[in-house]
Amino acid sequence: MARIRWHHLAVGLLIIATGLGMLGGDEKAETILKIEFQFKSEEYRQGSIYSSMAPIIWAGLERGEVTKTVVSDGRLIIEARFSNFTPSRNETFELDLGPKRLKFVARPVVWSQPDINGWKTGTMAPVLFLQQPDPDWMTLEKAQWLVTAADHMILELTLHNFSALPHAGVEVNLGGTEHNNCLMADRAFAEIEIRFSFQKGVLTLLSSDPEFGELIRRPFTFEFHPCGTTGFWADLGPTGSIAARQIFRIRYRFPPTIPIGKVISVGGYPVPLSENGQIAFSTLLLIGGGDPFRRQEPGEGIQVRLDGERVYPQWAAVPLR
Amino acid sequence: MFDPKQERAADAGPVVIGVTAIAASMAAVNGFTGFLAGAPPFWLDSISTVLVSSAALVWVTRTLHVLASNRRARGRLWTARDLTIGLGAPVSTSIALIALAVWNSWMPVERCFSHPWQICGTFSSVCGNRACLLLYDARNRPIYNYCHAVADDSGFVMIKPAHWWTYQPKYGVLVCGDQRSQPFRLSSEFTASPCEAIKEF
Repeated sequence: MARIRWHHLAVGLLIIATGLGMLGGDEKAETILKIEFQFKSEEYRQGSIYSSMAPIIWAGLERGEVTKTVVSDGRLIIEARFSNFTPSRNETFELDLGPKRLKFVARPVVWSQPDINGWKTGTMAPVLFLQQPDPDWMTLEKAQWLVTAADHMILELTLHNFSALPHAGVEVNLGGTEHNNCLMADRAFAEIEIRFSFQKGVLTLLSSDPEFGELIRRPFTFEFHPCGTTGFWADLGPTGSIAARQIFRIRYRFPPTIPIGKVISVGGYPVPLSENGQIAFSTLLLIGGGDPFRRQEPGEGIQVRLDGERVYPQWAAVPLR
Repeated sequence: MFDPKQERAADAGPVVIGVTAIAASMAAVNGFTGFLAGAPPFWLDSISTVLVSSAALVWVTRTLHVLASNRRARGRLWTARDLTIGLGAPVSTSIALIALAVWNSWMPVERCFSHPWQICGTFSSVCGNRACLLLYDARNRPIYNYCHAVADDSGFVMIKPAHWWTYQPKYGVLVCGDQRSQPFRLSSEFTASPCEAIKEF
């Protein structure tokens, strides 16, 4: 009679346990989607327009991971992945593509054999959004800070109205938030009047920016909470209408320093003010939401927001770097 | 003296001729026109097949009967010409009815021996999710009496018949509001897995 050794028993138990684990465990499935998107008119099938559309894919409350976006043959090709997810036959997906929301139903999925870890991969038949309506929105292509030789801070926004229709323009807001962890003792609120000039113009190959800026008085709200969110907000006013198919650049030039009637302290230390009660505008931005040495949480930091119809994206981060 | 013509005239009474005329008319109308559209084509074809086959059977029987009568009347000394006397009408009617029966039975028989079908693919148009699809069989008869709405914004369609006897669509027309596309042939890609076929309008 063969003797059962301990290691035989252990191996046997291991095999049984593995088998039970595979039978009773959660299904390890990953679904891969490929989506192709194309505008109706050839003139809009450009990488610059497609790349501004930042795809997000949802299946109910499940958000897919966009793994690849490329532009090929005038089409935007998006690859996405849903982990631990098996679409039902009537599953409806939502694709947020720029300001558009497109819905599509699940296609048949071809499943691979489970790998050694029990994972299986399903590839869904491609989803083709062709002949889609041409873009009728304006995009915020770029938002950045510039500093002049005279230490003026300039907020430069580049807007691209690639639609065939003129755009009524948007209202520009500048804001910043940062969360404090109760390290500071003071609380301050200030309504500061800032004056900035702005330039706006159309970028063409032949001309530079025409200047027609005047000093504009705008309230700049600054709020400081020692144990909460510190932030500022400024309404920079309307851009005015933007003609069809034009790249439009607008610059807001802020003064190097602004007067402030109250001393703000950070961590018990007063914020450096100039002798005549002025604070550097960049310091204000740093306190409000732009500390470059601190890792910011989502939603924090300096942002520019555009309020209006047919504009995408409606906000952009403008870090002080 | 026995006259085969008189016997034929007596046999091919008005009832037979009337029933034959009705069956043949229905089979011809069903087989060559879309006049009876609305009812499922499979059942129209099947009913036509039964009717016209029955009529064909009557006329084949009659043809054989006339042939036998001719032979009996001529005794042992008959010629080929003697046998064909009076056969023109029954033979031509029989051939016509058999042809109609084959024409009408072809598609139901084919359906009975075919696999289940599905139409799957993307019908891309500027109409987006407002489009719908009319489907026609190989003889341009509507398969459904309604327009199949596309399933989503991409124009995706997946249609599986509710009954085994529903014919496989061969042609389609895309409808967008008041506008209709030209009829187009549904390529074999639309019946293949995994639904990658596309038709742009």
